[in-house]
Amino acid sequence: MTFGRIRTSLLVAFGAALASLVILYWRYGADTEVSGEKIVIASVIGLATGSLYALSATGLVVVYTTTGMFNFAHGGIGVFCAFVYWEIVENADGLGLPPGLGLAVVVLLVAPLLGILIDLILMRRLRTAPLVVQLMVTVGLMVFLLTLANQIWQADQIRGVKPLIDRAEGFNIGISRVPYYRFANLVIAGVIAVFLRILLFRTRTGVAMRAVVDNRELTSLTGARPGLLSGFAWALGSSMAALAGILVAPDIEFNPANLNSLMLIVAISAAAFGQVRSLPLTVVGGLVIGLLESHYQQWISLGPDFTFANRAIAPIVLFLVVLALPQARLSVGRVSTNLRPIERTTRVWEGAFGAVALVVLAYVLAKGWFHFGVWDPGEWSSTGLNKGTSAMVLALIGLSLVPLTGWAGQVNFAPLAFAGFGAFLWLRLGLWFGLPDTGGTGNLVWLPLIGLLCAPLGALVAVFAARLSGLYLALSSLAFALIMANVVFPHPQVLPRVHTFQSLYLDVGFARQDFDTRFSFFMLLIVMFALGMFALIVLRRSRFGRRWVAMQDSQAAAATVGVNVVWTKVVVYATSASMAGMAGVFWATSLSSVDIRSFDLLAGLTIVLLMAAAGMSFPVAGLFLSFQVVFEGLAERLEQTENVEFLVWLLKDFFAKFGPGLLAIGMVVNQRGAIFEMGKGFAPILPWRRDAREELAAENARKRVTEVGGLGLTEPFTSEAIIALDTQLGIVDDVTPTAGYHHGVSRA
Amino acid sequence: MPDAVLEAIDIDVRFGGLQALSSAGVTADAGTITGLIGPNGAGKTTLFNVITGHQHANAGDVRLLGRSVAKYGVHRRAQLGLSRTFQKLEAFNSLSARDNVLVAAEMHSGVRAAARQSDEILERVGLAEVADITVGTLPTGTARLVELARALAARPRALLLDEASSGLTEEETAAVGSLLKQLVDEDGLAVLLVEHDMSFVMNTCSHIHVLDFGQIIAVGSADEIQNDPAVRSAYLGTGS
Repeated sequence: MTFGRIRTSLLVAFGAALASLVILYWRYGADTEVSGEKIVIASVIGLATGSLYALSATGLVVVYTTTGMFNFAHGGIGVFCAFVYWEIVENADGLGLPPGLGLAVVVLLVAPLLGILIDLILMRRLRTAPLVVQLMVTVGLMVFLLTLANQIWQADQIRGVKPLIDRAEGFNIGISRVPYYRFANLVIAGVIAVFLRILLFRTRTGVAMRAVVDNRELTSLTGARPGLLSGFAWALGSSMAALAGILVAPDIEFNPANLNSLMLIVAISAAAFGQVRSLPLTVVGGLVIGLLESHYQQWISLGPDFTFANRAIAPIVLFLVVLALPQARLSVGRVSTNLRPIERTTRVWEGAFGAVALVVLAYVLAKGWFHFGVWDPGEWSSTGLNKGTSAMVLALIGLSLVPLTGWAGQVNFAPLAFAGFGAFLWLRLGLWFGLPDTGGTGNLVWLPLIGLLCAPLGALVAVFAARLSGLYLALSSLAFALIMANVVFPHPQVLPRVHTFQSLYLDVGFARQDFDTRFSFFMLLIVMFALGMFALIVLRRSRFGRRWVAMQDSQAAAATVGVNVVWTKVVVYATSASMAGMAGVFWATSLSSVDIRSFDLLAGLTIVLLMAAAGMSFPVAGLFLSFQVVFEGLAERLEQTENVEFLVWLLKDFFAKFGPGLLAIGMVVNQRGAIFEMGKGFAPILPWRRDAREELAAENARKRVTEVGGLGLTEPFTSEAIIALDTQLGIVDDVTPTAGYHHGVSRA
Repeated sequence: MPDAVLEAIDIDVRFGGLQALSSAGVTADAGTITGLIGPNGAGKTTLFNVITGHQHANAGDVRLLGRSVAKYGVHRRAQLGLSRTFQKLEAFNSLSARDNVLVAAEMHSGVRAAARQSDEILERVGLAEVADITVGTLPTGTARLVELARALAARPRALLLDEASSGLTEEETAAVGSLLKQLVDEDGLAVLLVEHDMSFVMNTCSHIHVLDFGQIIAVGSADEIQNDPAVRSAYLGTGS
């Protein structure tokens, strides 16, 4: 019943994509001559490329159906393996293996090993983790693999991969030549699809693999070994990613970022076509995307303003498919883990204190009034201030994720899309409406207006997002980010390629403050961040904050007390969008030119990853985005010192570059983020945090309880041990063992 | 029936080929506690879900205070006075017990009034001592009471409790029983509860509906139900 409906909606999505292609042709491709030959050629190329997309996507589906883990690093694995292939086959200084052998080594050895390692080290620990953590870890892994590939195979030379069958060999259709290797791709992908279908549905292993994800414990009772099966699935998935990566490499510009953005988004779109479950539909999805791309290239020319529009085809398909999927019901929530026993939200005065302290500290540091012992860093140079500025811009954008993802639980990979919209309004609005004070020469009194105007965009996104939850929500936000980055923002009418740096000022009529120096601009950002942080802390303590967190915990329950879930989402998206939009104003001002790279997928993902690793529910997490800048800055200062080359390397080439990925991967161990753990250690020092001291004492008491076993044998009966024993035997008169144990010793 | 606060009439629900409910109906009157019992899989929770709007019904009507709410969403029905707890715990785990209740109270009251009401309700349900504790760290039974407190804070006219006593100790169950009696007597609430604890049902409910294979097979007082042959065969089997 439902399946029929899904098929219908997918057909609708496909139909819509096809119709838009036809409309685009009618509007923009009218001078291209249509001929049967061209149609055949475009279709052959599309099917061949599409079959590789399908190959990659089925790998993603196999891992998901077996382990329940949606692997954002799938493309990253493919990229890494494709470059290993280049290294051992194509590199002039490498091993120079014959292509067939090299392919076998990578696909049958390197990729499976990588997959098994990933499963053993990371993914098995995440089986019961919340979806957000699972997503962040795989995205972190993707960023890590990509950084690694970028570091090893730097952009110092042009690389290429030759197809397995020489390009020159082929046959003619009319006057156009179709090389054989494209057919080979089609055949390989087809054979593997059939093999997979048989494996999953006709063999014991395959049935067990599909059973594991439904009920792991039950499956292991039947004699299957879930660990082995998930390892096998990851090995298989990685191999398919590797194969797809190597085979697709000859047709594209061979560099990690390019290959990744292709592999990642295409695989995800094709997999979403099959709801990440159905292999046949996934294959259809891959072929459809391949065909759409090749026909788009053949017939349609939108001109130089839409150079990257072809990259948006897969995200658009993804967007359409996700929207066509049946509406998510108000499903039951997940079990939250690792909660504090006493719920504590930051008090308003603490927020105010923190905000003021931040501003003072930043001022003192930047002025160089603070000495670290013998080391006097001195006043910040203009480079230092520039770095600080870019860090604070990121922090401001990151702040917008706190209510949306941290509290309301709406995963959003597109914070830069909102920020970019704010930047666009700031740069364009003045020109359109003839306001004398905007258009790049900003008076900050207009800033709230930008926030207000960005809110509707957030609300619009929420209308779509409200239907979705979990994985599909994350996917659609990724699609949204890519569409904005590839189609909307590169258009010169949206963001001018180059605009002259013009300083901000605040003019309220009777008083005027200019922010035309680097120092004043940096301090402006610090103050804005402090204000934003304070506002969020107040918001969290308000009814809105409570309602958002409640909605994340259980949408079903929130609705039963009268919370309108859709409207609440609209409000939180609008809030987040206006925060990001206002941050975009500073972003636009801080960059001398806004170009396509500013909207790179990785730039946006890095913000999300670092926020998540820090702990997205804490506003102060925004400061963690200065992480890379701080390490780079430290390394630069140390470079003048002798004998610290290793430290410099560690700071600059390791932490600053791999940090975001590694920190996100670290969420395997620490799901609540760094701030949660730091807070646990730090709070008991604060004189007014008696609750934190009691929590610590209770935790220590619980730790002591485990040692009771040695009492009387290896350990003496001390009064503390007796209390611990009492607790374990349940003969304590305390109702809640959370408080009082620290003082309990004297009472005993 | 002037007192019927909540009526579910001729509800049909199909899951694919499975008829989960067929022409099932239930009534809850003001000032009474009505029980809904039946063997596992009879469709009790499905009926609850239809009443609160979590489950789409293929046919039938739900009336709250004489007004059809079948077309309304969950939150709209809640605002009109329909509140519930869940069989599988659905507390706001990362909030404190007080904030759980506050979220509900703030839907209809200002900041101060909501805070005052929340404290009163927490006191009444016996949760004052754990008001600041994060609900996710509380024992299941206590978290169930938080759900009850939260449901009460939404100012319901009809309160639906799905297995209110599971996870509770005997004393807690008794306390919930007397609290419910107090609520229906003093506040005129209509309570509808699904329950497996038969002695609890027989002691607290003035009316009982019995559901089996998606159909109501008996309606009546505790005594009538206990002596009904259809009910006995549904629970004990017919022996054929």
